[in-house]
Amino acid sequence: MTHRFGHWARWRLPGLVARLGLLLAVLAHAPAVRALDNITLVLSEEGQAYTEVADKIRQVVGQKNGPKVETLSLQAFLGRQGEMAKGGSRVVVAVGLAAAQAAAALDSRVPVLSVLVPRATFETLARERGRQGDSRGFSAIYLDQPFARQLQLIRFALPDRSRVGVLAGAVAAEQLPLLQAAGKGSRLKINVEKVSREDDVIPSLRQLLRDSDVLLAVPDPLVYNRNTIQGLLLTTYRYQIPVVGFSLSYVRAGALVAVYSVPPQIGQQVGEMLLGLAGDRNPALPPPQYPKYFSVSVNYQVARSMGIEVDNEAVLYDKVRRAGEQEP
Amino acid sequence: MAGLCAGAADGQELLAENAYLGEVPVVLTVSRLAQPQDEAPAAVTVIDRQMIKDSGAWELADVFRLVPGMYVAYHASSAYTTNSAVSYHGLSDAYSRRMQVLVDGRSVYSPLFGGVLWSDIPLALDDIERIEVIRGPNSAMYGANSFLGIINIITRHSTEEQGTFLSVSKGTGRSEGVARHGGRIGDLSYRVTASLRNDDGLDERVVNPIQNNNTWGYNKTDDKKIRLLTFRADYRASPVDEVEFQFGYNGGDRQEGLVSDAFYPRWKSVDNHFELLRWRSQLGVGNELSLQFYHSYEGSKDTLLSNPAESGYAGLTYNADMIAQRYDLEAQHTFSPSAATRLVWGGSARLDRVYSPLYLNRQQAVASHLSRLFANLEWRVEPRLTLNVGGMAENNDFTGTDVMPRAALNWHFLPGQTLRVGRSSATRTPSLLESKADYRFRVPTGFPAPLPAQADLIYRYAAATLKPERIVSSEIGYLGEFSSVKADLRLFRDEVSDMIGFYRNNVCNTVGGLTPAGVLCLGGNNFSMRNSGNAVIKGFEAQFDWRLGPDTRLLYGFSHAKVSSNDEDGTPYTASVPTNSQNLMVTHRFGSGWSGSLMGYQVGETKAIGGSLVNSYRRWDGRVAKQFKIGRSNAEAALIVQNLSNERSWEYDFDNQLPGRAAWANLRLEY
Repeated sequence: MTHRFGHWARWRLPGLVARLGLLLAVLAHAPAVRALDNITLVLSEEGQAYTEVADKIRQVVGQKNGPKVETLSLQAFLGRQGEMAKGGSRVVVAVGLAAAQAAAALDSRVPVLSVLVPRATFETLARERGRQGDSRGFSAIYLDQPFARQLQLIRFALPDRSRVGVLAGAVAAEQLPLLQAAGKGSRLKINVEKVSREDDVIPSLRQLLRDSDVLLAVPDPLVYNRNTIQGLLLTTYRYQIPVVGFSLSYVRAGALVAVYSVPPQIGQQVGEMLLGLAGDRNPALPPPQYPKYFSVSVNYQVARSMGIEVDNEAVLYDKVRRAGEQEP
Repeated sequence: MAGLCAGAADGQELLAENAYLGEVPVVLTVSRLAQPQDEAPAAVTVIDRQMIKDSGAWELADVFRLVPGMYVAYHASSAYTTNSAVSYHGLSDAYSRRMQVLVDGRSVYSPLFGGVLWSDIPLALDDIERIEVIRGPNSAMYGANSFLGIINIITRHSTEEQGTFLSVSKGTGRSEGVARHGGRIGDLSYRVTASLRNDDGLDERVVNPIQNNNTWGYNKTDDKKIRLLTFRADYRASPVDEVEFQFGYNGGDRQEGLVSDAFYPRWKSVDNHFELLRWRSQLGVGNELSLQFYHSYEGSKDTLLSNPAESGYAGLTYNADMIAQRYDLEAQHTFSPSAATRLVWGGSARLDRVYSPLYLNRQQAVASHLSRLFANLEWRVEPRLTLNVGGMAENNDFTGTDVMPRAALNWHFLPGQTLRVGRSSATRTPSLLESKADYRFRVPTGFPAPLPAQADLIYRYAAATLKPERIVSSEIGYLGEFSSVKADLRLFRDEVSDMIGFYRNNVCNTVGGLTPAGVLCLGGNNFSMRNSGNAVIKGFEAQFDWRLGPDTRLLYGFSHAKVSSNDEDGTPYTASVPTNSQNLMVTHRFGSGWSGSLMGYQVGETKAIGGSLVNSYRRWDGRVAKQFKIGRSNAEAALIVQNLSNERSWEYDFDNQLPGRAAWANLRLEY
């Protein structure tokens, strides 16, 4: 549409007339084009996070005279899986892992966009379903942040710290090549300590903290769970080593800083992506991508207790965002 | 919400959204107000777990030799002969009366003597996470008796101590076994530590006694058998609520007495325990509420038997049992009234009940009450300027209400460079013994009627109402952080007044009606207490922490202090603090699991209150250790040697000669 607007503008018609004409053209034109008919949102379960994503998508997509948006519980979706390939063109948005797993079983003619799913999980899912090469039909907006963004945050929040410790169980270990790649060329040195049992988490952490001046938390069910998290945060606090968390909860609990996306931010990105597809009868999903919208939070109490000066959140966010834009 | 992960087809765990979106339990702070050192209103020496291990400390009291300005004497007291003296800036007798000691927020300051019986605390050295020693008064934060310094001992949270730990030690005059297990049941984590320790204390005989103008040939009888059990459970009631329970027991037999004393040396049995319950709730970021209750029980069973050669009486026995109980309830709230300020405030109420027929001459327990209200504000006036102001109002049965204010300004004049100016006033409440002592022995006179057949020999009698002791301490401190060195310098001036000292007072002449009819009053050897002492301590302290390399660390402390006083009532205030003392600790990790540390201590000539003049001395301790694996377990074997140069020096008194070179091996296993 912007293209068409530009085209008209170049004809130097009086602005008002041009805009009115455009509006009329769009209004008259829209029903005539055969576009995307249905968007089906499948929510893994009831809960605030899922409804927030769904509400945001509706809000963004619903602004235009677009496709019909329908929200299904996982239960309802499982009962109606057979209908998905029928009744006009459709995109299924699976919100959360359980929905993504269910939607991955659909007829491959129905494009499925998985959201609120971490990258590693999505990749495993795609591999298992043999759909790695098929991002047009099976794509995602990841829940986790790119490592480059997390390292930028460390750079800006803790400029005089360069030894980044990572405690990794089997799940996080798979992410390490990505992390190492992101760290390449930066002045940050990444130290990894691997853990294979829950009882080893704290001893391994102590070992790691001897050579690290910041701990980057990479989600791993063995390392970061309700049993370990308190001992983990306490230990880092005692070593006076700040933790870079991966959610707002972590910052509230005692991490110094985190970059993360909240469900409405993910919903916004999904909505915008769907808007871009709305004109296509046979939409092709863009390749899987990281969150475009994100937040940075700082626990200033922790900063103060550790004697660390940290920029205010808005400044930090701005620095991280700009650094991200400059990257290829 | 869904679990943290869901199983995928091939059994590989998949990370689900809840890892990012779920709640995380909030970790609560441990001290009153968690502050970095350069924002704190006082000089602080931090001794962490690693330092405790590296230092080769055998007992808790050993650890304080690493604190500049701290004076430690091994087995110093003449009553409670297994007890160590730990004092900061002198002015101390054997019981550390002028210092506050807290373990996880619980005061272990004895209700009867007003000091700390170091080896009787229900606390395992291996449970300690860190010790923060506040050098200087801080009654505004911690109440009366936080007079010359505060020792804050923090034990490990049970979530930090999962799995099993075993440690055995054996060597010169000592042996110990420690076992600990930490586990979890749902949202409850716990740890249990049990240990047995036998310690022969000082050598029986003094080696080469002709020093310090003394020729005395015997040390104290001070063997001890310590049975210890500690338990801690932390229950995570919700992401923002935590309930903590602790129990500790320290018991066993201790030797008591001196070879040449009116009573024979003997074994007494000790039974100490405590229970603590604490609830902490995080109301918001930096907004924390805590409620704590504890009960402690300090008991010992001891019977005195007169030694005719020294006392002139045969076969007299006296009940020296003691039971001191404390009940304490405290509420505390920490929050940020504005972006630049943090406030901690709260209050507490305490009941002490002490039974000590020997020292109080009463068959019933004596109760005393204490209540407190405190508030401390940290205000970041601007990023480079922090102001800490606070105060405590305290009411007790002995001296009424006292108010203890404090203020300090920290100026970060350059990044990593801080100047601190502070002024703090504190009080020390007279101990129960000082307020109510009635220490006497009933003896037969041998007179035939009509003269009395019995007499009371009175040795210590509280004849007057005492005021609290007062201190006003001013200081200028500097903290500097350089690439590999942290420096902490401090100039101080402590003005102490109304110190409670002894004076000779024949109470049989000055106080009437002290003995019942038919009992003669003999008070010629009695001492009473009065607020007579005044002293000004001026000095300088330095502490350096130098990271010589990734594997090498050097810690050095130096203290210079001068006391000016008229030594009222003959109390040696001026000589009670060594003019110069220094401590050094070097640790190095050699690689392949080997590590070593070397500690050096030098303490100037001292005459502590109630002690005798002892020469300056040097002492070197060393430790080498090798870490290795046995299967999946981490193991460490260490050899520790105290007093490497076999120096036979004295601490505190002429019957407290440090043992010569003492070595022991320690093997520890963690799985």
